[in-house]
Amino acid sequence: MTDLLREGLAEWADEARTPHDLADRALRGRRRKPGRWLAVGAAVATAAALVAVFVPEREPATPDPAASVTVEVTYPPRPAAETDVRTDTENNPPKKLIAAGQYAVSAYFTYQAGESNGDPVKRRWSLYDPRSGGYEDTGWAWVDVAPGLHLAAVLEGDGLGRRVGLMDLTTREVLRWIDLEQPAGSLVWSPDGSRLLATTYSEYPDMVQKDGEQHPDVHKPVRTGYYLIDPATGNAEHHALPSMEDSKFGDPEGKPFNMNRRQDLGWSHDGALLWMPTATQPAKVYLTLDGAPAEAPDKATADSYRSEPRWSPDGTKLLTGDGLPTKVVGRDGAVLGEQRLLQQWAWADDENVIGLGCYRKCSNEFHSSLVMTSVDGKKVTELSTYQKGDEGRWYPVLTRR
Amino acid sequence: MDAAQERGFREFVSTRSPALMRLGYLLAGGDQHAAEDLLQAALAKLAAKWARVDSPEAYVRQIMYRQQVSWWRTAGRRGEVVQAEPPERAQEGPAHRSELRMVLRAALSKLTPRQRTVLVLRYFEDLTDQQVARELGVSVGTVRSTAHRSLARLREIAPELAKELETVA
Repeated sequence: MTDLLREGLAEWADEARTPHDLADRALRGRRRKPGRWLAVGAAVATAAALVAVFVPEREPATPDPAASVTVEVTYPPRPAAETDVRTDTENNPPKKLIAAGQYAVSAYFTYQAGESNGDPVKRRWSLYDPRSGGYEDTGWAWVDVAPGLHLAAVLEGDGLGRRVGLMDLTTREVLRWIDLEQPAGSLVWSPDGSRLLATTYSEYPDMVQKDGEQHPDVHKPVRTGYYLIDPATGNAEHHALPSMEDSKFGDPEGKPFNMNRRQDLGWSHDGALLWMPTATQPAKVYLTLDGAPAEAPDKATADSYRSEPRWSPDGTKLLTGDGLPTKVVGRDGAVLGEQRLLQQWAWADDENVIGLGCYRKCSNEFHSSLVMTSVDGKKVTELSTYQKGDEGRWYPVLTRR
Repeated sequence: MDAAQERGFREFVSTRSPALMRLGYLLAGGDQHAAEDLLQAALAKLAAKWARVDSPEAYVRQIMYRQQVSWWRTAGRRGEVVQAEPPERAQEGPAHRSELRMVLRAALSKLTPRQRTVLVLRYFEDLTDQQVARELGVSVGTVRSTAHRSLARLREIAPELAKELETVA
């Protein structure tokens, strides 16, 4: 029933008035409204300047003098991994640990948005607390739990942070503080839990963008680079890596671009490479740890905006992405099953997928919950409550148990 | 640009600007001033390249589409979209088609530029998903998922449209 949209759009377009002096304006740079036109001009100029400034060449890593600590800390031992299914379908946000197979919701965040256009949109983090079996509200700028759920990295600061804490999750004791010269906006553990990756920014990246009110800085490139941190020794090395450019007319087809201010980096599954996010497909562009361009290790993973592996633990089945229904395929591409999921997030085990399921007949895709479903879609376990709309929405982060 | 080229450019603008303004008006969500800015910026780029552009209209349209793309709202990673404002509910009850269209306009103007652009390209410009993907420089999957989300968002903003839009792919 596309008639309403087609007719509605065509009729609405009839209301446009065509100014008589468009050619003059274009030829002479005449301005309808100086402020507005300047803003557009400024945006174009920024994009052009970006082309000139963004040189994706490597810069030598600089050891951070502020982070020269030599004493190694001893990590708490990684506990044996549990694989049971734990749900909290009563509380919104959850009060009890949510977990399924090899993954657990180790933390979640909510957004705290300012009132005005351009105000920061900050995250409020709740962190898994093994003492209570639930989640603890925190004031950290960012948290990331290491695989094993025994250790967390916490970022201290107001939005951006210059101090990273290494916290024993069980005792809640910060084992070490690592000072950073450049402010960081995100933290992520390497898959083996031995190193930390912190993306650095010149200003806090997330801002309120009201509909129809273009903020002049909404696409300002603010990423400065990343730290590779060895939390055991406290050694932190900074590498410069400016934001990926936005698209511009005349770009060759398929050139990746990203207009977002937040462009957090991630790890490849083996921890040998890093990736930067794009707004295009593939969703990830890979780099060596030094920041040199690298081949994507696996197309399916590069195409996914999620960081969890797309292949099942036994390597026989592949998640294919978002949908409704979503599909799982075999190595030969044959469809092995369909699931009523909006998004496939990760493999709980070889037979079950964690993802975002929608409520009843899915008349509203924003009414969704975290679920675990069998590959054939027949067995669905609700892991969390259903969330509707954006008001108070919490965003779970999955970590290997 | 010499005098003959300028005549050609002016003729192009005078012939094609009504159609281009219609497009700009929809992309801008019914904001006349924003639509003028959008078209004016695109025409200025065209003027600078007039002698070298084979298909001026396709060039201007693509600039307009992509200008909207570059204004896409910042989204966080991990798939979430920052929504600072809760959706407003339209009034319930309009039964007539013309009223539905007014509701549709109000809802379309509340979409993000990215969501609106994909719907305008699909249902006003009548482009296929493959053509939309090429024009915007994104994947077909991104076009489809954006279209799906845009329609879901329309239904959420204006529940009275849900029935009319429920079978739209």
